[in-house]
Amino acid sequence: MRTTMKKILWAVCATAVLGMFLPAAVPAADEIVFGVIEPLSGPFKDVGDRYVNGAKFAIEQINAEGGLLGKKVVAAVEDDALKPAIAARKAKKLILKKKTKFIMTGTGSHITLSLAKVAKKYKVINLTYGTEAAKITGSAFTPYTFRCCLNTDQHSAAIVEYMVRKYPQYKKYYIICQDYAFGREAAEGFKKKFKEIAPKGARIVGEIFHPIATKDFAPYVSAIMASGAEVVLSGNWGTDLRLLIKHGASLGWKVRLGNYFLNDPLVLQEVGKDSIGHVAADAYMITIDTPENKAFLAKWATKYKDAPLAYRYPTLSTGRAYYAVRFMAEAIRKAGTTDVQKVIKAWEGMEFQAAWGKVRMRACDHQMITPGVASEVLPTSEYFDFPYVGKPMIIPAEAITTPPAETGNPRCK
Amino acid sequence: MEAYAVQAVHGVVYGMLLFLVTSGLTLVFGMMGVLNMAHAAFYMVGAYFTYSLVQWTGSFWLCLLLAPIGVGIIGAFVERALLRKVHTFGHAHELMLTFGIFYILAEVVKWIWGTYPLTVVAPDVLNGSVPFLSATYPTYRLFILLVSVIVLFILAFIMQKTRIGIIVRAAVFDNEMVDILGVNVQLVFLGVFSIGSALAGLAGVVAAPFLSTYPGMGLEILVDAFVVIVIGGFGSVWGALLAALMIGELQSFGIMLIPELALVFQFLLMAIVLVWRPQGLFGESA
Amino acid sequence: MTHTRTKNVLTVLIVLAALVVLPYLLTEVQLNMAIEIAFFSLFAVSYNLLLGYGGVLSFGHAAYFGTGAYFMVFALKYVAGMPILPAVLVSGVAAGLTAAIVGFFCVRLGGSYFALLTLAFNQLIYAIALKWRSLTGGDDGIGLDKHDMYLPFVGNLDTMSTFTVYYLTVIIVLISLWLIRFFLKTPYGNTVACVKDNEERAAFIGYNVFRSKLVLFTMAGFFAGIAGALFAFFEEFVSLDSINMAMSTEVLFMAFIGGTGSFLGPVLGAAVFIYFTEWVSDITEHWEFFLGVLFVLLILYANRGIIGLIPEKIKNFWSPRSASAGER
Repeated sequence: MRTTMKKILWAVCATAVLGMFLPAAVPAADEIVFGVIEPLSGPFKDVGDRYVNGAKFAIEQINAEGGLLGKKVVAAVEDDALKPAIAARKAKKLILKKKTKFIMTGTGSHITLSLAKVAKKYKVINLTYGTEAAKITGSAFTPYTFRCCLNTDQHSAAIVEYMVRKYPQYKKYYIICQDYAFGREAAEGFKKKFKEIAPKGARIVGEIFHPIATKDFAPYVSAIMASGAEVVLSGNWGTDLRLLIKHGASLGWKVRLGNYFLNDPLVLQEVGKDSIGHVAADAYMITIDTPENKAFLAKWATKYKDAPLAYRYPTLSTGRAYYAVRFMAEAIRKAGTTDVQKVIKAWEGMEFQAAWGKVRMRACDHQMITPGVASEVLPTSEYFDFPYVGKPMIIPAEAITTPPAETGNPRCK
Repeated sequence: MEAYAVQAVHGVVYGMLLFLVTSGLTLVFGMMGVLNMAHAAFYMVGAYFTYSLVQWTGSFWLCLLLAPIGVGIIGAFVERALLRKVHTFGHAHELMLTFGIFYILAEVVKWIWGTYPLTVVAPDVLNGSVPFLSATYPTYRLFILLVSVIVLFILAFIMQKTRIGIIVRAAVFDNEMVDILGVNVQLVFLGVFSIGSALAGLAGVVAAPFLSTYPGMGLEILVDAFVVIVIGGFGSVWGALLAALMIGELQSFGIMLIPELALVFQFLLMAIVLVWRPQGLFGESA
Repeated sequence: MTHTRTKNVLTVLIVLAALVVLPYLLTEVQLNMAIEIAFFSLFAVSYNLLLGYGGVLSFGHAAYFGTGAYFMVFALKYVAGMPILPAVLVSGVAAGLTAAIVGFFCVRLGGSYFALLTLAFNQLIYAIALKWRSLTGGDDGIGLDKHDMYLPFVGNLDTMSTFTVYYLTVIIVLISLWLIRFFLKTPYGNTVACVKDNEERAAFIGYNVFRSKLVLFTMAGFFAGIAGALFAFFEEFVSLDSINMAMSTEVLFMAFIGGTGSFLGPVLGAAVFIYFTEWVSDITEHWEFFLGVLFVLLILYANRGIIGLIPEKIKNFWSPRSASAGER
């Protein structure tokens, strides 16, 4: 038994080594390759999958409309397992083997920062449609990196704007965030905007940071309730968001939560009625009431009509990825070439019509300047059979934009 | 004052949940000398079984019985087909094997159930609240407390009062001697490992509606469970109980007093205990 | 005897020559992977000092790899004009010191206790790296900015070039491997293996068991730190992934899958591991499942790892000597 097993194992290993020498596909000359790097294995697979869907859908649409510069756009998707070292390796492979000049990710600020190093070395465009750390376009800026989503300052500001405009009667705010870089930045963003526009007599009554993947939120919820808070601001995502809401509701908290990622069908499907009245904000939301968005939704829904309910419509992440890739494609079209330096020049300061309004690529730090959308969860939805966000309030870009001088980017004065 | 009372109860509830999660681990280590890294995977499988069983049968109560049995059967298979084979190779191999099983099970769960979180809804009777001081307290948290206390008493009874407990402890000490006395040691080990796995499954059932069911849940609980075992002393039920309660209370009050250190509470506690008593609070000296 | 010796010298020369010409034969993608295999090899060999030679299972070796990686960044960032080679050494020393402190608490305990304690200390060090954002950048990670490297007689080297990084990495890894091997052959190094085989007897003969184990643990930490520094230098970016528990389990996989019973087994393991993350992950998203299955099958049926699977004839030609670990 032992020897047989050993022989089998040996044969498997030998075959596996031979597999290494299979030739890799080389792209055709009339193709433009977009390299999409996302976690496709491990616990964040569902996050990565959705970004990939969004990016791929944009590429399909571009091709359906006649391609880009007369060429066909192809997506080369790689799994980074949410590890910067693997992401960097896959990016190098895409650049050297598939000759891509455009790499992108939406999951993990550390991934974007690691890809920024690769992009700088090989002189390719590094696009992000979902990583929000301020330093990507701030202190760690490189000219090759472009961000087509909100950063933490913009995202926090959109939530605070909504709360203060819609509910000026609330006086007690509480901040709870995850104790890591993203959570700290989100909290800074909340405080900055709150200081600017807080209604008279309103104040922040507490601020607490909990470890990521906290299991029991009851101690935190009790502390929030004891403070008498009316509004809770949070940048939480994943289980930290779901459990905060569930444990909060089970202890009977009477607060309005403002959160970054609440308008995610996967979250709302699980949290259900406990989420009614809470507020979400982002750049994209499927409930945006414009003809452009309606057209986008219709196309998406045709393609994914048989998907599980939470995947049947675009989400905050697929929407962002879709419009980011479209925006980049327009920049390439404007440059008239895939020459990276020329695309950078063309993209800087360029305007683009997204489903939610006009956006602009700020020249100095490559941060997309965009209006925000914010909305609260209603008991019923025309899309899903669980509570979902309603039609959003559009928050003008000026209200949430970080002034250039405050970005920490040496190019911005 | 009332705020402190509420936090104390929160701490007890979470501490007892932690104890429930570690109870099977303690049992297996105390009786077989095997540190079962796959325990966290069994816990996760228990939670996922609950999800599927609720989908099929519609009854959460049934899961309390069926899911642990299902996980127990997996445990029996692991002991009989895998663990027994490497027993002679020593501790490092047993540890690596159980870790390998953890790794594989975590992948299998993702393969079968996908990566996005699944919802398990507790029965209505457990979903409400009961009056508590000037406010209310969620019934489900009290249910967690109840299940944990029952498990605690059963476990203490088995380990200290019954013949099985005596046999197993003797078997760890001198395998051959017990064999000669006419006890089937292999069978006893099989039984203990299955029960330990079933307890992990039970913890998974109880945790499913409370902590939600997602692929990372096993790994996240693994480290916490190990810290409990290290502080309490390997294989000691009372040690695990005390350690779990200490961690529960520390997290409840710690976040009121020194929230900055919430991330490292348990590790600090562990470090302090280890400097003072390397074998843990209730452990026999190594 | 002399025959074996000639063969060994010949083998070494062939391998060295192959390593020198390799960059001219490989594509840049393959060369990048060769670099990764090189520093992960050192990491895995350092881990095998514990698992194969010390006979103890650590679940926290990434703590030293990560410490080395972070200190490489700190050294180049905060010390103006810090040359590359001393920076690598500083990283190794920092990791070694960390290992010495942790080892002081861990090595007294054996078996499962040791495994759990190393895991817990790994978590603690991870938590420090996560919390100390001003220094480490927290979960955003921290970039490493390279400058040119000056070598006497050679002049300035462009460290952005993959060629330079390759030669630098391979040379440092080879020197480190040689040092580890040299240490294991010294009389003191021998006591370490003796301690593993029978701790009580070793103590009875008069060896200081605690000190031997601590030295081994510190050394494993030091070389893991060197590997970490090379990792940082190659990636130009360090994040918590280099210091978390996943990295600790990866190195366990590398060492065990390659083979803990021989000095070079972990090198093979590192290559297999990179192979999995690179090619198998392209074929199936469930590559971790197959990695786990391979790991468990090896534990059950071939506990000397893949290197133990290579038919005896081939193996005898290459490396007649192997450590006693894993031989049963």
